[in-house]
Amino acid sequence: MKPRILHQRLIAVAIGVSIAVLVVAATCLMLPSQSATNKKIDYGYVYSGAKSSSAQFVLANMRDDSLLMLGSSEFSTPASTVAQVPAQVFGTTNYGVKPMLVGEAFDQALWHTIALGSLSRSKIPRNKVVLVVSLGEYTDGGLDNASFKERFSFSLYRGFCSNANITPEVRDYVRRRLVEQGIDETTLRAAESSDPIAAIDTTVLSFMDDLRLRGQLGDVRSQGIPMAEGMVANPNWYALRQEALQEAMRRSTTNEWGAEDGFWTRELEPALPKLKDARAGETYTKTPEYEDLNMFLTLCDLTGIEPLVVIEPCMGPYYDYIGITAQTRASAYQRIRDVVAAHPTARLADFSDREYEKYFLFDIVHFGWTGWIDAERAIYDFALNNTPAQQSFTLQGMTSGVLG
Amino acid sequence: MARRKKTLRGTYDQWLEAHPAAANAIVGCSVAAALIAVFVFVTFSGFGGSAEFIYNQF
Repeated sequence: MKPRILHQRLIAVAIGVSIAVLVVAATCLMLPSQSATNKKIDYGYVYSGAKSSSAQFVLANMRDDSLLMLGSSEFSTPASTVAQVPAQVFGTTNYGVKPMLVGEAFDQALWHTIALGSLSRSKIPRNKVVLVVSLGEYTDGGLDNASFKERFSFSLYRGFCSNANITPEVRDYVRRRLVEQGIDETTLRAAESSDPIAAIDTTVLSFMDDLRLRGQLGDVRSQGIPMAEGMVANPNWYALRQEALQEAMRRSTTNEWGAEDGFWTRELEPALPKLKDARAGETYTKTPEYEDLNMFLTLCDLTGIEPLVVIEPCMGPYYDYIGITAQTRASAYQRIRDVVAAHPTARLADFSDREYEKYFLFDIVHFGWTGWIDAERAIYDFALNNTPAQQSFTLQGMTSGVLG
Repeated sequence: MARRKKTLRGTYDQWLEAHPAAANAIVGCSVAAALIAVFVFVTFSGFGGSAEFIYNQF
């Protein structure tokens, strides 16, 4: 190519790059920042990976009466399937507690530790956090790397690294676990800003992640619901549970286990023939999840945040069928309880004894109609410093599950 | 005397030489379009969006 033509081509490339930069810059100016908020709208119940990965958005949309709740796929249950989900109970009536749900499928204790580390750089409302754990997170082998990498958030880890309250012991543990889960060294060093060479990576990755989150938060903003305002009401747990029971009986008519009809006919029943004793080798012991949970609670100790760990049961009859014995499950629950008990400020809402209670779950692992009501009651009591003894009534077969 | 058959590449090169302004515009637009496409994909495609729960016990 002649030098003159080459020169012209280079100028053309430079103009092309400039046009792209202008388009990106214009888009940046048009996209709302992560922390842009509308105080009349409640985004607490929106199930979204982008929302969960944006500490700025979560913090900007919490109020004094909010309650941070970390969990995973149980937050995805739609109100059309289980009308007792938090969005319906706390989202439509002002009970003085507004959960901010953070987390989605495959988010487990390591992810939650990073998220809380990032969020707790600012003041968390009530200085409390709820963590929902389920037995499925403690399966042998732990969470596979592909699923973890899909959910790893550069922004959250960067926030975690910049939290001055976190000790080197917790930092080192989290870093080691991230390496085990397949997060590459370049990303980790960029988030940690550990050396000047990583500064360029930090700038580029931060910019891209910020832009991606700002773009995806548009969907979240469109799914908010009007903030439940007005006089603070006291929930009538008895009535709510009665309604839940009636709803459950309408929604579960095709099986004895109490599973929702659609789930039973489409997912579970067709799969059952090949599932008999299919997971008899499961032990719930060969996983780093218990230590991850311990590290989450250690972080709570360090940051002065009071945690409530909610143990979500699994469906007993189904797990018996696939060959994981009640004894194996009980050992795993006990181990979770032991981890929680080692942290004096941590409280526990233990529903592991509800594995065989019909309608407590709507599928094999997620809270159902009565399950959500009982969990919400425990969460409400925790938020308002109530104890079961202070409640004005008791119900047969209903406990809040809150232990000392 | 047999005529030499023109190749596609030869025709393309000839056209570029004959229309330098158009060629430069194509190069510039291609670069801009490629960069904007990458940007749009990363930011708005939903890549890395919400994970669906899978009943992995099945």
